[in-house]
Order: sequence, then structure tokens, then C-alpha cells
Amino acid sequence: MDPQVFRDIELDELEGQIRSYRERGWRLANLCGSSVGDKVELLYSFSDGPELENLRMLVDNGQKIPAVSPLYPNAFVFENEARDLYGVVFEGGLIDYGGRFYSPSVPTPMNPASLPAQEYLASARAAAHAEAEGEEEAEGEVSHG
Amino acid sequence: MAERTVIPFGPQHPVLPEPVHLDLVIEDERVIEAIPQIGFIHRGLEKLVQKLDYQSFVSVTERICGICAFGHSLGYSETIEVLMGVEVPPRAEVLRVIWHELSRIHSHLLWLGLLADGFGFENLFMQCWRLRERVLGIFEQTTGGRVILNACNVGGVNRDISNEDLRGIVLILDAMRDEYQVLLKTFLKDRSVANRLRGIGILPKEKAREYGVVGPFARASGIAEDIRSFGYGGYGLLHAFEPILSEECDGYARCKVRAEEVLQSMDIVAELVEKIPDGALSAKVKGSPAAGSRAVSRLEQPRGECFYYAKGNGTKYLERFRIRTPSSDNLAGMVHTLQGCDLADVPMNILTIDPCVSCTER
Repeated sequence: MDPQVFRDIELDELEGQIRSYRERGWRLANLCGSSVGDKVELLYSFSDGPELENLRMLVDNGQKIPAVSPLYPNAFVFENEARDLYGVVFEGGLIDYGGRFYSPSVPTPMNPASLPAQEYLASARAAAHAEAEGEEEAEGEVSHG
Repeated sequence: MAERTVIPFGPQHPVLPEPVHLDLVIEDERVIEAIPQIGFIHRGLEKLVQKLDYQSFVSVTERICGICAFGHSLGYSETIEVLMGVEVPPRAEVLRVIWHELSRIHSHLLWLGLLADGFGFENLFMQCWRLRERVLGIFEQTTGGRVILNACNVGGVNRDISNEDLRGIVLILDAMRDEYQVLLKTFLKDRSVANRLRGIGILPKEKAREYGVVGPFARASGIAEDIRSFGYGGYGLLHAFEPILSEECDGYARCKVRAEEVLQSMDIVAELVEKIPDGALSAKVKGSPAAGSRAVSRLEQPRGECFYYAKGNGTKYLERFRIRTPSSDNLAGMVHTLQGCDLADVPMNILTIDPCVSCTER
């Protein structure tokens, strides 16, 4: 079983921590977002052989975060994914696809506080409801005819 | 000064079975820069954990990828077991490793076949897939499925393989081994294969570290990292495990590492069949992951280290489940190897890295 080491950090500690792992030769194994209330939690995981450590950082929705991809190039995929799914904006990343990496049909679908996602879902539900009602009416007309 | 041109590559390409698009900036038939674009098959599978309970979600994880299907169900189950403190019975752990190593053999044979097809060696392609068919036969015999096995659950495995059937599997693998040696010799000694692979897509060791690549891609650049060597789960029963390495750092090295890993997986299965303990197949799993609980776990998939993260919220639905697949970690390294590559070598270069976009996008 992998070691379960989780540490909480603040945004102002992030760059120093990342640099420290890089200088010690650790690999960035993962970077991902998750929701905590209306905030986004970012998890940075570093590995060195069997060693594994995870840094947790809570950020506000829409808060800009310094990118780690200049130090860990493999992070460009994770950063763009977090941007697409959670709306987290990373500054200074290697490649910024501007929210069109996965091109989800709903903007930031994993972020519960995301207004565009909620509006999209509400309109999609209303459209599906209207379509179902329309079909029922059409069926009724046929049977009467 | 030569004129620069941008040539689109993919998402549909005869050599590449995966939907990845690349904008190749070309100067004198040489790639200066490659910009990848994916997003053609994003299915939002991670979001489904909020709608399916943690036991039912195992079946979704198997559908992330048609090649490492069993591996994903295993990685997910192990993560939830850590999250809930479940102890898996020893027999189940060994059966899991046996199915997982068979999946690696099937994945590597599939890839070796595609590689042979990529450089126009149709007969070699056919022979690789013919052997792979026997592994799919073992899956069908032991689980009823050839791609989706539905053999793993949170707590253990869904079905047993009798000790007699396990010995039968070793006999099948032994028979395959002799035939595979002939193919191995062709991959590693044939001049026409070497002409298409040697010197293609070089990624030196220090660059491999910088780009954080994993799996056979990293081991072909001399990085001795393989999660199996940590002895987790059923791998702990192995007498010894040494990752297969190459220092040549090119497409040929990546072919060599994978080709030799097929034999290594056969050895692992044979050793574990000798050592498999008797006992229960699954532990009883009750309750739900606690609110605020979290767990990480790693698994060596055929393409490399896969990272899993789960977060509980006190209900039977997970708060978050994340899979960082080996291909998403290897994308930056792949783009780096394309810089300076001849345009004609681009398909072979990408093929030797074997990106799985289906896994990457989930």
C-alpha cells in the first residue's frame, strides 16, 4: 500500500514547496481538483520511488494559481484539465488551451458553484421536458385522428 | 531560410488507433514543434461517482479503456479498500495479480502487433495477435469475458480459478513462450525492424526525469521505476522483481522493454500459481467511506504508473474519484521526442510511446 501522507498548505507556500520537491528530484505524480463547498481543493502529489506525499490547497473559485508546468512539464495536461472541469486558472503554464482542452459541452462541469454549468443543466432539462411534452401531444393527435 | 509549414496529424491516422490531433510545425521535413490537441472522446466518467455507489462504480472503471480494463477495476478497488480499511484475502490478491499480468501480456502483444503493422511487417502483426488470442481465451475461460472481465470487486474478486485451471494456464503460457521467442528474436534482431526503430524519438535519461514519464517509456530511458517492485498486494509473494531497463532511450529500446516484459509477466504468473494460498475470495465490505476520508494508490498498468485518488463524504457515493493515467503523464515527453524528428518518423515515434487517449480523457 502506498503511504498516505497529506499536508495542508496555503497559496503563498506553493511555489517554495514545488521548487523544493523539484530540487530534491521528486516527480509530480498528479495534480487534480475537487470541490469543497463553493471552493476548489487542489491536490499536488509527488513521488520518489515508493515515497509519496500529497499537498492540499484550498482556493477560491476564480482565483489565479501559479502554474507548475514550467518546473514539471507533465503538469500541462493536469492544469488544462482542472481549468476545463473546475474553472481553475493557472498563470504562466506551458500550454494554455483556454478551457478547450477536453472541450466539455458544459463549462466547468465538476464545479458545483459554477453558474454556467447550472444554467446549462437547467436549460437542458427544460428542453428535454418540452420535447417529451411535445412528443406526448403528437402521439395524442395521432390516436385521435 | 526554409519555409515553415503547419501539418495537421490525426485524429484519424492509418498508423495511430487513438484520436489525438497534432499540429506539426515543419521546416525542411523536420518537426520543429508539435502541439497536441485531444478532447474527442471525453466521457466525464469521473463525474459518474456522484451517481453510482462505490461498489457499482467498479463496472464503470473497467470501461475506461478496452486494453487495461481489469487494471482500472483493480486500481479503483485497491483505492477504496485503503479508504475504508478493508483487508483483502491473500488468495484474492494473488488472483488479481494473475489477471493483471495476463492483461499486461495481452496489452503488450497487441501493441507489438500494432507496431509491426506500423512499419509494414504484416506477418509479424498477425503472429503477435495470434498469440494474444490465447490470452483472451484464458480470460474467456476464467471469467466469461474477453475484454470486460468483471472479476474484481471492492474487497476481493468475484470468482475463483481452481488450482488445476491455474496449472493449465501456466501450460498455455509455456507453450506460448516457445513461439513468442521466435517473434522476440525478430523484433530484436531483424534488420528491417531496427531500421525503423533505432534512433527514433530519443529521450535521454535526464530528459525523461524532467518530463516525468512513466512505464516502459521511462524504463527504456534507463529509469528503474516500476510500482510492482514495491511488493504491494500479491507482488509481495514474488521471490524477486527487477524492472526491465534499456539505456538506448529510443524507439527500439521501448520495443525491447515491452517485448521482454511479456516474458517477465509469464514468469510472474508461473511463480504465483506455485505459491497461491487457499482461502476466501472476498472480504465483507460494509458501510460507506467516512466523510473527509481520502486515499491514494498507484498501480503499474501496461503503459506505466497509474495514480488513483478517492475522497469519501459519509455516503455510499464518493465525493471525488480521480485517475491520472500513464498516457496523460507521458504526453509532455511524447511532444518533446517529436521535436527534431523527421516527418516520416512521426507515426512510428508516437506508436512506440503508445498513448492511450481513451484512458487520458476518461
